[in-house]
Formats: sequence, C-alpha cells, structure tokens
Amino acid sequence: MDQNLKMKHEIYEDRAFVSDNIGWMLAVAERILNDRMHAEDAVQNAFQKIWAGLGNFEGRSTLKTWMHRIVVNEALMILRRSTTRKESPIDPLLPQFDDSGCRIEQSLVVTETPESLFSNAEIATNVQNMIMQLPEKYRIILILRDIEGLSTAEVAQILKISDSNVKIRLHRARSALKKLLEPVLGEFNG
Amino acid sequence: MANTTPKSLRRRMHSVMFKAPMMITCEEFESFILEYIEGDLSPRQKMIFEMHLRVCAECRAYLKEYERARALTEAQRNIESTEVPDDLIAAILAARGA
Repeated sequence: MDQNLKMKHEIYEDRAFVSDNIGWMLAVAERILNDRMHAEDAVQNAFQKIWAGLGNFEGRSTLKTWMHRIVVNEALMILRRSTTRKESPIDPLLPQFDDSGCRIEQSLVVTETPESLFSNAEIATNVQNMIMQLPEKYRIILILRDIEGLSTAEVAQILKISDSNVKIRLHRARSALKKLLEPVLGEFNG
Repeated sequence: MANTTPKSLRRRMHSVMFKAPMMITCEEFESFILEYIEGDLSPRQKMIFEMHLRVCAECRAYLKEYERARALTEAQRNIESTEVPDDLIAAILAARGA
C-alpha cells in the first residue's frame, strides 16, 4: 500500500473507531460527572489513554470492557478534582423502623403497571434525575455497580474502600432511590 | 382510649411474632436484602429471610419495589449519549495525530 493510501486508511479507521465508541463513552462519563463539559474532557482523555495503551492490550477482557474501565477511571479522576457541592443527607430517604424493629414505611399499592403512564424516555429521564439527587458517595457506587456493571471488588479497588463498605453504601443508595422513585413506581396507601 | 388503627395493630402483632424462634424483625430483614439478592446468604439465613418474607406484607411490598427500582436503574445502562458534537470528534482525532 502506498504511504498516502495507508495514511488515509488509518485516518478513516481512527474516525470510525471514535464514531463507534464516543456515544456510549460520553454517556458513561456524563452519568458519573453529571456535567457535559467535564464528561467531554474525560472522554478526550480516555481516547488518548486507549490509543497509548492499545499496543499493550492483552485481551484478558473484551476491548469494550477495557475501554469502559478507562473512561470510568478518567471520569472519576475529574470528579475527585472538582469541588464538591453541598448535599442533603441520605438518612431521611432510608427505611424507618419502630422500637420493636417493625417497618414503619407505608405500604405501596402497586398500581397497574404505573410505568405505562410514562414513556420509556420519560421514565429514563426521571430515574436519571433521581439518581443525581443522591449524595455523591452513594450515587457513584450505585452507578458503578448497577449501571456500569462493575463488581463489588472492582468498585472497592477503584474507590479505595472495603468490600463491606461498598455493599452498605450500595444498599443505602438503592433504598434511597426506591424512595425517590415512589411517584413513578406506584401510589401510597396512606 | 387510644385509637388503634389496623396498621399499628398489625405492627404490634408483628413485634410479638418476630420474637418467635427463627423469626427476624423487619429491621434485621432489611440488613439481609443485599446479600439475599446477590445469593450470598447461607441456606439457613435464606430460609429465615424467606420465612419473614412470607409473613410480612410490608417487607414483601418493600422488596418488590426495591427490585423494581434496581431494574429501572440497570436500564440506564442502555442509554447512549445522543448528541455527540463534531468538534469533540475533531479534537480527539487532532490529538491522536499530534
């Protein structure tokens, strides 16, 4: 292949590689950072790391899984550097019990598929907004475990906390999100 | 005379019932939810957990909604960013060429 043609081929391959992957990578970074500009920075950094490391990629995971970990790490690095906003405590969103350990929470009357009242896009936006309301230390674990699909051990390693701490925060995050999603999930039997 | 609603009566019945052997309170049940879902409970713990689930309507409803919220969260995984600015792609490719 002549040099010009080879160069054109490589440029085309790079463009296709970026186009094929940038959508999901931006979505991952935006979920973690909740900020478009920072997400774009994270993705840009991630592509540099991916190209720099591609030669050493050993194929112990799929290429997408490897790229996914890189964009997650880049987003988390930016998150750590950004100033933390004032957050509400999670406790009011957690289940309540009386002195004998009985659940105080009002029981839900599950309406007939309440999700059908919303379009899929509306539900997705609602869920996304509610996740963003969680305090950061819970939100990040919920995103990494339940959306990005990382294992407890992987999350513990990335965040430098114990496995049991990951589990405690994950359960609290899920419980709090359940509470926040009650208007979407059903109606209360007051 | 105190106004005893069915709900508070039910809670009083529960508090007596939960003292029986092999029974746990809703609060103890709560602390096992994550491990139950992940299949990390021992067979004995699982049996105790499920026994509570059978007798406690509140915890049944709670767990159902917890699972539903989790499924809605997991569905976020399929969302791809819709707007990808051309200048971002251009910047990434330019940095690649540099």
